Amino acid sequence: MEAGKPPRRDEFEFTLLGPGYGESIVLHVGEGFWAIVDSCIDRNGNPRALQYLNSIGVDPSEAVRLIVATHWHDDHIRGIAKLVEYCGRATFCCSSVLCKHEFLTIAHALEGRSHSLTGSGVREIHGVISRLLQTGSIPSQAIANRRIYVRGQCEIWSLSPDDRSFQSFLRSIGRLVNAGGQIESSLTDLTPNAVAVALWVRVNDFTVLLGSDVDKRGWTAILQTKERPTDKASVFKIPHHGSASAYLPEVWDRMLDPDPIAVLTPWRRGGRGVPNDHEVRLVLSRTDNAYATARSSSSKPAPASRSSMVKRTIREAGVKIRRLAMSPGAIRIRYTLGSQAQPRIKTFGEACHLKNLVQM
Amino acid sequence: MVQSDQSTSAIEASWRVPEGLGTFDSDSKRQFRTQNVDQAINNWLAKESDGRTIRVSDSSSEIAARPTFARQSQINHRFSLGVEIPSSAQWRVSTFHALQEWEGYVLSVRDTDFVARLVDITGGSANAAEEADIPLAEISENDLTKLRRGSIFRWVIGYERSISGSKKRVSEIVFRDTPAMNETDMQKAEAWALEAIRLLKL
Repeated sequence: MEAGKPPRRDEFEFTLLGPGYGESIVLHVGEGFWAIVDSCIDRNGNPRALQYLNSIGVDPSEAVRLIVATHWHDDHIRGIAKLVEYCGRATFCCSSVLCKHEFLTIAHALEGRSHSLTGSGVREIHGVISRLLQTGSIPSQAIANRRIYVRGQCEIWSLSPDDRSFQSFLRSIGRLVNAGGQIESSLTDLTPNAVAVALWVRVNDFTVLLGSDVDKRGWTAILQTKERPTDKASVFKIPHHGSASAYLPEVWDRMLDPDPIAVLTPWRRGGRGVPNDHEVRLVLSRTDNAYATARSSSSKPAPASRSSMVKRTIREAGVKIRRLAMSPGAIRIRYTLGSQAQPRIKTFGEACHLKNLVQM
Repeated sequence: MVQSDQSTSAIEASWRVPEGLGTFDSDSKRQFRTQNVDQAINNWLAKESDGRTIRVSDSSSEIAARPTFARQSQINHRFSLGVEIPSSAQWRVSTFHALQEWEGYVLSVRDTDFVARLVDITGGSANAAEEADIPLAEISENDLTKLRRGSIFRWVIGYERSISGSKKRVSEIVFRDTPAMNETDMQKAEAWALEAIRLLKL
């Protein structure tokens, strides 16, 4: 994508990258410093955040000072070990529960065993911790109401996970392994969204709220605390791809400016596209400034090219195959700090206004 | 050594070791030295028989044979290769040619099918670029017990061809076993976790 020049030192930038499978956010927090929240990769397995920063002339190895893994679902974490390796000056931050003995033990025990070809979120976290052990870089741990980063006019707070979710997650890890040392259930029985990290970012007079995949229960816990920062945000990274399971009206009422800029990455799973028409309308009922990184979550990419014998066998087996790939897109918001001017929004690739996702 | 029965006794005397299999032990003409018997057999199969059968020659005729077992002796990495000469009715061995192979990752299990993400191994993909609804009827009884959210499987479509040339299309899904851990594995993992916690001040 033709992303042009980097922002000025007094400009804030928020860019949401979404290849159709996963998302990554890059933030210019002023004075040439950057943060990356989550990671997604291109078809060659390279982190898109690195590509983007290189494309605008920013050297990630120098400029990136914070990398946050909000949770370990594949659509948020793929390529993050590469990011950590490349961005040598960055502090790594993840949910505090992933730094606990229980999780680290499982992560190491599974390393080198029967993994999927595409790797897994657990493997990525293990890769990051292994890298940190080599470099001696101390990670930062995110939990509710903790300031995880401060530099100049920028401060970043983690708003979750709350104590109850933290303890519940540790218990569920304990249930994975039986007394005989065998893994009794799948890691996918864990629910990483319950311990996902929502972030509140303020630089000078501009505030953004990054919703990760935090669900309704998580938002309810966030709203109940009195220790969190209370400035309302002008930009909202909508949680969980716009799914209704993460929509809580009070978040829009109490944590966001009226008519905020809202952005999301669409998602497709089990033949169902997220957000669906209802979920898109929920967002549009709250703001006209809503954008998505891909044109449609329900469009059907062309099927893969295969021999007639393979196609016939698939058909006769009664298997239905869908292509997931969507073309990459990005939404960029830039704002001159302290100016009170309107933020400038630019879309790239397949990114579009959210109303384009509604089926006519 | 050569496993022999009445029909092969004549062959044993003129047995020759194909190139690539290994070398004869100096003190015994019936044992081979090789680092990896499985690989040696595979090499031999590929080289001598186009992946189908082994051809064993005696002075007058050529007979199809197949390796049946490999044993490692206790001393000096000495291997024994067993070769069985089948009856003529068993000579014809089918081959499998894969046309398409995926690795799958189960997202959800429903009443009559399951949903899985697929990585196209044949296409050399590094990403799960496809998703499939696969009927439960495609899975063997044994693998049904392994079917759960998060389990991983291989799906191969191809054809089997017999020596006579007849071709049969095949679709096979095989699930991986859950990785087994023993007490030592867990102790190592715990030690690593504790070291990480200490060094990284977690």
